[in-house]
Amino acid sequence: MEDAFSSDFILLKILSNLSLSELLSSSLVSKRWKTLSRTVLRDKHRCAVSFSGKDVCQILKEFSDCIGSMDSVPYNDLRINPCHLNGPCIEGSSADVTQICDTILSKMKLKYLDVHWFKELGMPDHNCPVMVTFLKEIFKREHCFNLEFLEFCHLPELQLFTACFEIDPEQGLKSLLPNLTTFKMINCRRSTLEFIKEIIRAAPNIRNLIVNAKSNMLDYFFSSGKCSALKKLVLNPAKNDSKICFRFSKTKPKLKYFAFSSIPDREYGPSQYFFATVKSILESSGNSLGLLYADQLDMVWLGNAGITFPKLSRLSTRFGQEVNQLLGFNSLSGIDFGKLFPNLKSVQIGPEFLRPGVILGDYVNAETHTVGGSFCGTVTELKLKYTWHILKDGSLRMVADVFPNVTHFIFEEMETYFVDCMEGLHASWPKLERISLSGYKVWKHSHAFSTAKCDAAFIGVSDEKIETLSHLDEETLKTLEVQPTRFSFRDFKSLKKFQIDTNHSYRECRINDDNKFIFSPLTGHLVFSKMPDLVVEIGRVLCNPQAGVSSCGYELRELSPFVSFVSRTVEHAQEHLISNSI
Amino acid sequence: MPVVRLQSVDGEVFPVDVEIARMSFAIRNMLDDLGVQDNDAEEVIPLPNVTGPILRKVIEWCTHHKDDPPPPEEDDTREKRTDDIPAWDQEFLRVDQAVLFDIILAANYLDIKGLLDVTCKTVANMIKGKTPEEIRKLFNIKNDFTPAEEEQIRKENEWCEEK
Repeated sequence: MEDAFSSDFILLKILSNLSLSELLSSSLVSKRWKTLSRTVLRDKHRCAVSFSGKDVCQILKEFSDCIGSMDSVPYNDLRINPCHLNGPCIEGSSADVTQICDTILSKMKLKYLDVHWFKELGMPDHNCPVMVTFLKEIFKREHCFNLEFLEFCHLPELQLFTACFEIDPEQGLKSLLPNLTTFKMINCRRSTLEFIKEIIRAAPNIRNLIVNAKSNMLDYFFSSGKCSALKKLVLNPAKNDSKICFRFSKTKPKLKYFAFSSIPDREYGPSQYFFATVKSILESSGNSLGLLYADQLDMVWLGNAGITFPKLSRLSTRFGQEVNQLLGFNSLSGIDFGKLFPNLKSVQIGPEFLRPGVILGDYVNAETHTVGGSFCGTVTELKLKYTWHILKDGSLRMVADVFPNVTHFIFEEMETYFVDCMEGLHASWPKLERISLSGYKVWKHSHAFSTAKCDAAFIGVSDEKIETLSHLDEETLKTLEVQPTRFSFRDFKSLKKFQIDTNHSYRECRINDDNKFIFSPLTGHLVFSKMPDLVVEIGRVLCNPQAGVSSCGYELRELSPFVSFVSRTVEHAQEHLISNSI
Repeated sequence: MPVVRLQSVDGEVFPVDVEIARMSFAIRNMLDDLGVQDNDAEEVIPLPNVTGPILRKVIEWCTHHKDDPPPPEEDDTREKRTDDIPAWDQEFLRVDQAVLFDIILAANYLDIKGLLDVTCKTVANMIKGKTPEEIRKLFNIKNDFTPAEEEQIRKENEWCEEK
């Protein structure tokens, strides 16, 4: 009897329902299954190969050896992120290098490309000629013909870009990317509009421009007829831009990312167009928005406007003046937040949320609370910036009433105040799985604290007891069991990860060379070692010795038995600062 | 209600409402090509690739889903879900593997998109979470790799990263 599996069409249809990892597994079933699984991977998934880190040249060579002998290739996505501390380049003549690149690019149907640019790349004295050769090969017409998705993180000046890739300056990128539908730029502050113009020239079929389009660029999008391709907008209108922003909002854009700030308007009072613009964009983009950063959000209007945000997963907001002036914060109680944001996962709230009697106080006391309603039960990640109100009794409890299902709590710029609110945090979310401290000040000690006081809080003992413990040798500490006399970090029984990102400010990390930290090996021995399921991770910036900075970044060697160190790039730190400044 | 008569390979004839029969694009094309009118009740359409018991199952599925809206166009950008099979279909497809595969073949031959989708999802769910060896065992597939080839594929797969 004929078996359904004997038809390629049917087996392909079955395999199309599998995830990437399931397809990798099914490629091991038989030769035919391998070919068909890889067809699905190549045609329906993003099957990415990453060239990153300092050994990027070696990785490129190894991949070339691998792909050269393959009969069916599943890969369709390249991610290039060379570390600026490149290791030695692979040896060989330029012909060898071209051969390596050609082997890879002739075997792959490249549909997705993600380039994390470093300023060293493309410079005459760059230290990785192989990667530059590779990128040059990619930007040859035949290799980027199939490209559908292109992403850049950082970019050089446009002239340097075209010179580096030997792109005809007269022709530019024109018609180079006929199949490109999505272009994304991250952290590109220089010559953004020039690049966008080139990309639009190169990609006549572009449908998704995920670029930091600012109000003052909208004129160009109107004149090029590409308003509908714009999926990301940072609305920060100066007085002169208000009308064009309003005009844009009336094109009914379907944005995926929307950030707006009305702060510049405060000097003059809110613009007559600003709120109308925001409301109009929210109305047309409700169904498509994935991320929303708002410096103020009129929840009352949203609740009554009949808009829902089914795809919104991240929301960063403050509640603005408008709510207060219109109906007062009590009006928030009538809003069905679960209906408004049914899939919200991550929320960042403004510090005023915690000011008693201002927002949460009223919200929690209002009728929604008494009937057990919550802001959004789907939220599992909450980010909160330090404010002194956080330390007041009951503040975090109030937040937990609104966001009851948080498993990952992120504190911004808490400094060592974190130890003061540990107990409140535990009382509010006893099943917390992850705590992150981030922000450029996270490692600094405030005046009233010392490492010893923090250790006492982590271990759950008195300051005097810490003094006694500090005289014990390492061998004794390894086996010592100290009974806490107050709340201890070990009470976070469900905690799986404690993550601390330090040195987010490049400038500050260069001038801080002391090794004081929020805890010492005492906490390592008596707390972290006793929590076998916990991973403690410290993110550090690795500085570039070539830039003449060798002493930045904490060593913290004495903590290494208890924590794992993760390298953060300077760019990561800058991204962090940028994301916070929206 | 106008009726069309469908004849299976083993000679069994099933009178079926035309509207239900037309859920199969293959039958729809045959009716259109033959110029069969709604009142040609005696017209018999032979289906040489489908047995009586399987045709009965297919007609049962089509009858249950006759008022469904047309299935949406394929959207490759949307993540495929296999946890959205309606309870009735799950129960309907709780059959032997051989029967399930015959329904898939019939759905493919008769070009009934909704039935093909749901049966393929059902098989995909049988594959999910299984090792290659378990998949081979479940569907009686011969491993035609040498150990060295298998090792090579594992190495090639290691390059893949998920976004």
